[in-house]
Amino acid sequence: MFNKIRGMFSNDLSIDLGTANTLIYVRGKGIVLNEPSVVAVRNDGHTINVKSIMAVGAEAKKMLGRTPGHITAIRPLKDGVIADFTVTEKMLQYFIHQAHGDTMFKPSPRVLICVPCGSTQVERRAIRESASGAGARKVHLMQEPMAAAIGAGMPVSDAKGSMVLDIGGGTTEVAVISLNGIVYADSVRIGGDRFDEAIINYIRRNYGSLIGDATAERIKIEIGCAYPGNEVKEMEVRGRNLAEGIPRSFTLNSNEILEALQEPLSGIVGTVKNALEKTPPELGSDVAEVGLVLTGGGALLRDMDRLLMEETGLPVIIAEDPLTCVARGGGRYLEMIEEYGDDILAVE
Amino acid sequence: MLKYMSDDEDHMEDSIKLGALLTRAREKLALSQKEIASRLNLREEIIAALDANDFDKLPAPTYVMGYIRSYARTVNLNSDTLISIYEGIAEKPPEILPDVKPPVQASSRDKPVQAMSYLITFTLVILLIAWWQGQNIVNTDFFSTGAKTSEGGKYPGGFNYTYDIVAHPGTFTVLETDAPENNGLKTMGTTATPGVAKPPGTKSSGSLEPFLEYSDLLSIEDPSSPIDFQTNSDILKIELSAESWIEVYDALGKKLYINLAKPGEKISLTGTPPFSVKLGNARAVSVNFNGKPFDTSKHTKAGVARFLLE
Repeated sequence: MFNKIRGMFSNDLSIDLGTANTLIYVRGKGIVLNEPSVVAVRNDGHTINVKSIMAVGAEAKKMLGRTPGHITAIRPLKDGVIADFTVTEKMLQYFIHQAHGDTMFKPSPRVLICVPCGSTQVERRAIRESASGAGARKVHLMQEPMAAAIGAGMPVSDAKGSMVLDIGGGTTEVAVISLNGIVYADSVRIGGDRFDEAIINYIRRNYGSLIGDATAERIKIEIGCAYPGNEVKEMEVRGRNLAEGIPRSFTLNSNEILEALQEPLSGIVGTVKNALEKTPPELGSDVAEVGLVLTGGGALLRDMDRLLMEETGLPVIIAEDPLTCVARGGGRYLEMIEEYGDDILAVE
Repeated sequence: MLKYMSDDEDHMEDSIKLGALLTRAREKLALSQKEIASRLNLREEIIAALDANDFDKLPAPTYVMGYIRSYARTVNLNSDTLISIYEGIAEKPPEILPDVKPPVQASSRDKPVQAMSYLITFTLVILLIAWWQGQNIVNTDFFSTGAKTSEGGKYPGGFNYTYDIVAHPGTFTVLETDAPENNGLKTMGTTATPGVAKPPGTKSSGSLEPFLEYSDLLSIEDPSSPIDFQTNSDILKIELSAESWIEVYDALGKKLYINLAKPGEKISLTGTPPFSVKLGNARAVSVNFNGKPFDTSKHTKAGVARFLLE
């Protein structure tokens, strides 16, 4: 009863709780928050474990790998699911509050959270409970590829196959959608984080130097590519030389990064090929005609579409604003709940 | 290239411009539609449709934007400019329609159904009450008619009056003791009051004989009756030695007596002949019509006598 009254003062939120970034879409306002899913926790007491949240989001991300002993910068989500329940709850609480702005009441919104289609019941329950713990009045869970497809503006309601590939921070999801439902979906735990890891490993192996996650990510964004192009980009990087123990600077080029990324990229290509193999032929032909849509941060990797185009022989399209597709799709679904009632699509 | 594009922007309509830009850039590179199509893994028709600005033939806007981007990149055009042109003419993204669901069957839990059943029950109860009230009114009329008759003699339903008394001899007696004088306003009392012509002492004795005489008197006493059947009314007397079902109707089909009569009971009825009589146990009943005994045995079949008295 009280919740209902509080709900009248709260907006519905669609949350893309990603491994790398959390995005919040407010119904009627659009994307209001796009922050890294990082929390910095300060360990206060010396004898007892008294922890307090120090920073959340972009501010906490700056601390990643740069923290003193009593502060830990945590990424509470791993591979698209919750790795640290309490911290996730705190983070969500902070984000929901941020998205809501200052109101007289404690916000109690209806929340839709997108979950990877490969997540287990336990993982979903953890997400649901952490959202409730963060103050959500009602929690809907929606499968990420569905939200991505809706957000990308694909005709999901038509009796036509639409294939979407969402490359996130922790997972890559591929799904074939027709008539508001997922015909085939698969999720692999390969994503932006694995790209970074692959770059770190490559540099350690070939340059004998150690670089941090943040540097690896910067390299990926600046010179990373998925397909050999005409243009070769270069970048100067500093890392600790493992033999000397001293930070050394060296130059990397995009072809090296391409080589470094071969393993995770082939994993993604394999997943797509596998999905195409398992798609019913009628839908497969629809997909072959119109193409495969790329969403998620991974779609921003240079020539990702070229790679998939060459590997699969399908037209590949990068959705407009691929980073926010999932959150926007969830938001669109919330709008539809308002219009048509609770169970339009198969969500939990 | 950019300069050339901005020149074009000034001259052409948005919708024509997009295809024209792509076509011109493609021709400049000496590429055919087929070559572009094979590079982008698209059908040649799609490239032709893009060149001709025939957006009806193309799939949803998301896809078209992707095609335009890839096409622009292949022919070295700035894709963002082309996309902004396309956004101006693109349709809205496809609607998400809810799943088709089977029509919901009405169940007893549905509000309208509940409301309807309450309404029906309520109506039925109201009708039942109305009917019951109606019954009561008829009964009351019955008595009050008798009362009127006895008081003013305007409506002499002589037979009714007699019937009432015979049917409730006990009540009558009690009422009479309650109101010994002729001022009773109660229905029954009033019914009894016409005993102007009869001595109260006789009534309290409980004997039925005087009433019969009284009813004779009444019928004779009311010559002013506007209804003429009173003049040629006949008297039917029935005596019982055992219990019997008795039904008597007069010529107008009016019920004169329908009851299970007790042994020793004497019934006297007046009305317009012919009387249609039915005796359930004819052997135990002796019938006297206008002072003459009537033989029921001729009309008796399996103990039940049915006959017409004229």
